[in-house]
Amino acid sequence: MWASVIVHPVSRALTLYLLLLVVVVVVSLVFKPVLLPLAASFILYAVLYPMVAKLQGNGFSDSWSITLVLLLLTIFIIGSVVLLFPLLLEQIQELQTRLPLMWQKLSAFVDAFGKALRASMGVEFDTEKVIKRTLENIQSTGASIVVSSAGTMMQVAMALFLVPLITFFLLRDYRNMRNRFMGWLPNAGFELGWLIYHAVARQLQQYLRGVMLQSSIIAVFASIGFYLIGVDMAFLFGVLTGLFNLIPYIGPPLAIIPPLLVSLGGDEVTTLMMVGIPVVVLAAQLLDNLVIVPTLIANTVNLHPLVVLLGIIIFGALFGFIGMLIAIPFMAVSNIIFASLVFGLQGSDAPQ
Amino acid sequence: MSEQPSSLWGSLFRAKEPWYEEVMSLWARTPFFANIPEREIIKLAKVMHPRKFNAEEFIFRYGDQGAGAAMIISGAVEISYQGTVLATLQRGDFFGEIALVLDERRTADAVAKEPCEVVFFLRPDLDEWIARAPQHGARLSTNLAHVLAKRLLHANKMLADERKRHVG
Repeated sequence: MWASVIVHPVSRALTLYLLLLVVVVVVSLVFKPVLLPLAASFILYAVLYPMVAKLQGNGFSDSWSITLVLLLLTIFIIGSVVLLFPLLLEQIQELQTRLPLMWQKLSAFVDAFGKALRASMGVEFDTEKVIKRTLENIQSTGASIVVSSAGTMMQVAMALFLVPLITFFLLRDYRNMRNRFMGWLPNAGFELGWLIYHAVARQLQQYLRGVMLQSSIIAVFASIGFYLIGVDMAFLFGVLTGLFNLIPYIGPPLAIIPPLLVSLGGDEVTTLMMVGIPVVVLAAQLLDNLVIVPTLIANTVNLHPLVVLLGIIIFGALFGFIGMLIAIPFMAVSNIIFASLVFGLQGSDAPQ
Repeated sequence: MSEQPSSLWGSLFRAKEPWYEEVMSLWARTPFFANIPEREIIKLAKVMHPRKFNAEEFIFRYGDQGAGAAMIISGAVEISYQGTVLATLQRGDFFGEIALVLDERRTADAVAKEPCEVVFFLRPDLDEWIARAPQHGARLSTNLAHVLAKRLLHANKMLADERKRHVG
């Protein structure tokens, strides 16, 4: 009985999948210091390679195709930095200068809320205690950010240097390296290995391109929406909404909180703003679910909504914000690898 | 790849032919690549996957998932179905081309009868090349349809002959 369990395609697929997972974990640990620039470079590679391939197809040499695409990317980055970064920086600085005043206003608001609660329902609400605890939390978080910022700056500087370099080499040599690596597969698993690789690569590329475009559209839509209803720092909050949108189900409600808090602490709080902020985020969600997802993202991941939701919560608890971002691609890739392994290994056992 | 007989002068003064040039020249002689320029075939040959097999080793088995076609660079390969040998193939012959079109399981066994060098031409590489060079891709698709149609005609004829024999 045990022998049949061991040789069953599902148990063999599970063993192979777990072995692969161990290899991925070990490789990730070895490359931990450069994991972020490596991941960023692979994302850029996935986005840029079709352009390089298109140029190669039009008769450009490999080196020229890569150089041209990287040149275009550099112009795009410089253009974005020159045009958008000052605006973003200005809005972050504005947020910093307005934070103390905002907290005062928020304290007053919470205080008034506490008094109203006491008067109407007789419930005791220790406003001072609540605010003190919140401020302490914020201060400790701020301190940790300051302490870690030196390290982060080093990482960012290293990434700025490494990412273009790694992307260039990936565009030039990745396919050869991949072929050599896949050449190590045993003859019996060679074709199945390539089929799984291509299925995974295709899905990851589609997902990455779709999600990047999706975030950009949502960011632009939300920025315009926030600007129209008079929210301060509309662009900053629009970009944040685009980023939060990367986390399904949980992200969009979170995107409402920052602009709502800042508006509450602002000079003039209007009903339009208070109602408008959730409406803008909701409208962005409708646009996302009715237009963007069916045209850009559909079929890129074939996972049940409950699996996605649970996966995001578990990955978020284990690895924080990054965990929430990688939950879906990780589960989608695991799904493909496992299903393809089971299907492929069943074939070898087909009756002759 | 397989060693070419060459003179001493040839060995001294001529750089060794890269493996993909040999692969390209073999594929160029097949009906697959009729009317397709060599510079395009060499682009494809560069992304093909050379593999070595020992004598009596399976190249693929009946029921395996097929990822593409294979070309014999050296050695001999036997194609069989349920123990019946369908064909014995040599250098320059190709097999498994159904997998270039369909995402289906292999319909026969392919076994190396002696130490073999085989180069695989995978469906995803073909798809990528067609997207990059659609004109040549269309030509290759027509060639592929010709090859498969001829095989179908041959199979139909064999089936008809077999029925006649049974009826007779």
